[in-house]
Amino acid sequence: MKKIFMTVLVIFFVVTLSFMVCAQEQETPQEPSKGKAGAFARIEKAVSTIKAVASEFRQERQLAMLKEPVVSSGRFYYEKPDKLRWECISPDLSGFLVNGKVAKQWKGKDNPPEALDLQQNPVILLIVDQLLAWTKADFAWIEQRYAISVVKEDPIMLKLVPRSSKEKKYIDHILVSFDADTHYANAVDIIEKGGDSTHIRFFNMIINNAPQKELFE
Amino acid sequence: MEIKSGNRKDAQPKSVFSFFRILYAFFAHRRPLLYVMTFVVIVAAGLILRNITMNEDIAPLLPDGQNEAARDFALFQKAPFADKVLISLKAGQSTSKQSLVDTADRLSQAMTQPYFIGAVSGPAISSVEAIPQWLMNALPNTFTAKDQSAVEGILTPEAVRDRLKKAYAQLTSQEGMVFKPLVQIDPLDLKGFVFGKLSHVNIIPGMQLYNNHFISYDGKNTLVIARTSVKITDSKGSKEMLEQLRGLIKRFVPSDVKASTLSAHAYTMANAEAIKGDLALILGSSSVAIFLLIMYFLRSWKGILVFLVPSSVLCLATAGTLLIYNSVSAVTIAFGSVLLGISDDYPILVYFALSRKERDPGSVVSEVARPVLFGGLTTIITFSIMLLSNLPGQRQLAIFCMIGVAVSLIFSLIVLPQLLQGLPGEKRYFGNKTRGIFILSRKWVIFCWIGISVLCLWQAGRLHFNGDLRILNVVPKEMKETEQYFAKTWGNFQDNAILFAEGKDLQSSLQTNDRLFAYLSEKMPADKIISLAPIFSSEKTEASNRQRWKGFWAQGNQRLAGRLLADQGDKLGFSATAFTPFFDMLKKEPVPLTVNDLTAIGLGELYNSLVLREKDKVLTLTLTPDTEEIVGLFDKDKERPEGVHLVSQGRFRSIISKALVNNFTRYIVLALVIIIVSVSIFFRNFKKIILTLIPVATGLIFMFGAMGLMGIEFNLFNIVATILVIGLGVDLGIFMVCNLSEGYEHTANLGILLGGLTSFVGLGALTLARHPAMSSIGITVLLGLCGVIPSTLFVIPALYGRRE
Repeated sequence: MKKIFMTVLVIFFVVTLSFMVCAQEQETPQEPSKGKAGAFARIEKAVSTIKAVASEFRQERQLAMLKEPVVSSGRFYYEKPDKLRWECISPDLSGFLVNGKVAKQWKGKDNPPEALDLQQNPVILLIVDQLLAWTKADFAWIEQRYAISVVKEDPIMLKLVPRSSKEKKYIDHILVSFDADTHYANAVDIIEKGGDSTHIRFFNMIINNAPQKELFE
Repeated sequence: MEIKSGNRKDAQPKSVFSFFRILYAFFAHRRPLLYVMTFVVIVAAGLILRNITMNEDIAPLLPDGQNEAARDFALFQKAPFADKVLISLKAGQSTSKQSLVDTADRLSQAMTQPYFIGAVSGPAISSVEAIPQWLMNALPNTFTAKDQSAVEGILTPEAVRDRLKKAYAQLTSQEGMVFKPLVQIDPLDLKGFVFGKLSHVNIIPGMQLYNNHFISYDGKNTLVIARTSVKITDSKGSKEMLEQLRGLIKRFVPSDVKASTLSAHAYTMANAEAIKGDLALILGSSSVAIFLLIMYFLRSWKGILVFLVPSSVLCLATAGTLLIYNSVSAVTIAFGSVLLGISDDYPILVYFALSRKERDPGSVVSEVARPVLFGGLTTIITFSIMLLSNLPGQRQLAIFCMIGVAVSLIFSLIVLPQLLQGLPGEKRYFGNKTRGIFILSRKWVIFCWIGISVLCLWQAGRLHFNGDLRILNVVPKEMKETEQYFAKTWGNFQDNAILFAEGKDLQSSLQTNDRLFAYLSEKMPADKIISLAPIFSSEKTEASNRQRWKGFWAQGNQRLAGRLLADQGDKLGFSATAFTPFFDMLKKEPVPLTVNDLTAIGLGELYNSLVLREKDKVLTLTLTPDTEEIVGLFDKDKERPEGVHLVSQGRFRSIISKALVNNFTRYIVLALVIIIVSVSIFFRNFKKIILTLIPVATGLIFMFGAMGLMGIEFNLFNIVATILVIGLGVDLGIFMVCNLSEGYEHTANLGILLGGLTSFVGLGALTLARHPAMSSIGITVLLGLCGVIPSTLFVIPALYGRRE
């Protein structure tokens, strides 16, 4: 009887100690270089030196309604703190620019730019806010609107899920990928509800070579 | 009236008037009793007046009753913005659109009880995303035969290709993911048909939407529309409500944003303020002027006793009116100056009659009682004609004046003689050196009189009747500027004609409304018609439209559309299943539209403005421009739909003008009949009857002639002026003919002159009024008196010939 009791006691202690050790291991915090905080830190560090960006992009939209994806290409310009130009060159000329509170839009080569009221164009406003937030690494703003998780650590890939019910109607999630060396964003994949998607790839990025002023006027 | 013994034809007064001699003798020995009784009556009146409720509402100036004008006026109050308060905010130089609409939001949220039921700065759209779905639901319910023809025209390869190209551009744009569901469900852009119909419910033509806010086309103005529990006829409530609004504007609107307010309440308040201000001015100035005139002419402290008669009359007439009505209109009290001017004629004549000491006062009173009583009774009966008026204010004024004249007669014939005889002091009068002013060449007087009368008769032909009640409104300069600003910024949305489609319930009213819209669409450009019918018809019409929709697609058009979309879509790069949601939608049974659907897309307030539920009926409103054509259609066209009633400013003006002419004719004829009968009973002598009517005729001819010459239009309130001129004219005519036929003495002429002048200043005070209704009466009565007084003093004696 005594022997059985002692055996049970030992087993109990061993098991209890094992649980305690495992729990202790789980409670140990991750190091800052890992996880979301680490990813943000690396991106912030990369972006902090950026004053201007010029990049080419290729956008591919895959829509169930269309037989073939819609491919467009163009250029993207950014200058701190609030100048932005998104210009599609092919297949058609179109785009928009933002310079502080002034915004303009154009469609076709024969039509001059027209004033654009961003409040009346919530989708473009969203794109502009997003682009500015990412170029400034304004994670506080981004996290207010999206639940962010880290898909990959190296190179960094973040997954953003909209918090807003309005945005959730259209977008399932967004994947933002960053260059392994520079930690600049080099790809954005927008996955819509229903399966349609938009894939944007940035390349030939030039950093801190101030674009011409006329581009934002 | 002064009668010299030996000059009189008939030495004995009539027996009925000897009652006054008996009464005089009775009270001569009981003066304290008479004074106490008088004092008690005046104190009692004062006690009644302690609780006086003075009504500043403008309701007394508006038609009531069951006549057409009153009904139309009541319907006007149901116009979409009649009881709303509109606040337009204009952006400053550096104010952005967003901050402007944010200001509108803050202001509208602050507009709460007790004065505001609610305020909106834009349509209350519960879900913007619901709008496309609503459009697709609305499509079958609004699918008219015209739409069917148009859709047939779209089902061609070219038209389908064009529409798909646009759809492709939308899909591949930056906003593509938002457009995608719309393109899937409506590749042919059929919702455009419903969009076009929404223009029929845009009541404010100069308005568009910005971020779900009402904004002008130039983007520099935004609009807040508030509902209030304050009635538009409630001047006190209107003032309090507008004061609260001013406070809210000061608190929530930044200084660089300019706020302008437009509402019927502002007009009510302006009118009430004008009436109140006029009250003090008119009563004050007329009292002072009449007092000074009396003292100047009578040259005795006993002139104060004469003045006390009309002053007491004013108090007693107001108290008497208050016993009949719950409240007295401020307009009625302002007319007190009229009463002062009329009611002092009798005590003045009694004073002059008693100013000579040689004769027994009792006999003098009984002699003067004859013309005074007849004159007064004729005036009372003449005023009673105003009891037939459609305006409650005029009816109350009739009661007020009738009581006032009756009290003046009693005081003048019973109390005043005792005061004049019993109290020490001489009854003097304006000296006898003025004899010359009353003696003019007979031929010249008659010649001038005929000449002026002919000229005035000629000009009277130009007199124009204007039934527009708006000209009788006080519209201060700043409010005129606000009206112009609103019209310029938001379009002219307040001057529409309103058509009321009546039904015993909602569906029957909507059916009438549907028929009305169909009728009007044939008679005028459809874009001029504001109506619910295109987007929200009766269940019967919607069911018919849904049937048409189903029938159209079932006839093979669905197959045709499928083939065209597949062919053209394939050429443009669309997949084979791209438009499956559209064909799924066509297979579904369309559901009826409900009021909740309208509310969900922000049209709930509009619906409530255009559909009015009353106790036993429902009225659906349609708005059109107020033109002669639309009025003509509803007055003359036998094919117009039944159950529809039109109100418009133009038609209302025409109704009031016609009523004005009819009433005017009726009142004048009645008044003339009354005075002819009275004067005939009094004099029983053809010559005297005719002479008595000279001041009446001359006064009216001169008044109408001068109005025609000066281009003054005859309005609803000038009827009051006409009655006053007739009443005053007959009074003075009776006095003068009695004076001539029963003994001539220039002191009696002075009495008549003084009576005329006090009437002149009493009524003349009305011309000082800011309120157009009162000043209109003042000006026209003055013109009338310009004919009455000289013709009394000069023409009657000239025509009478030998003085008896």
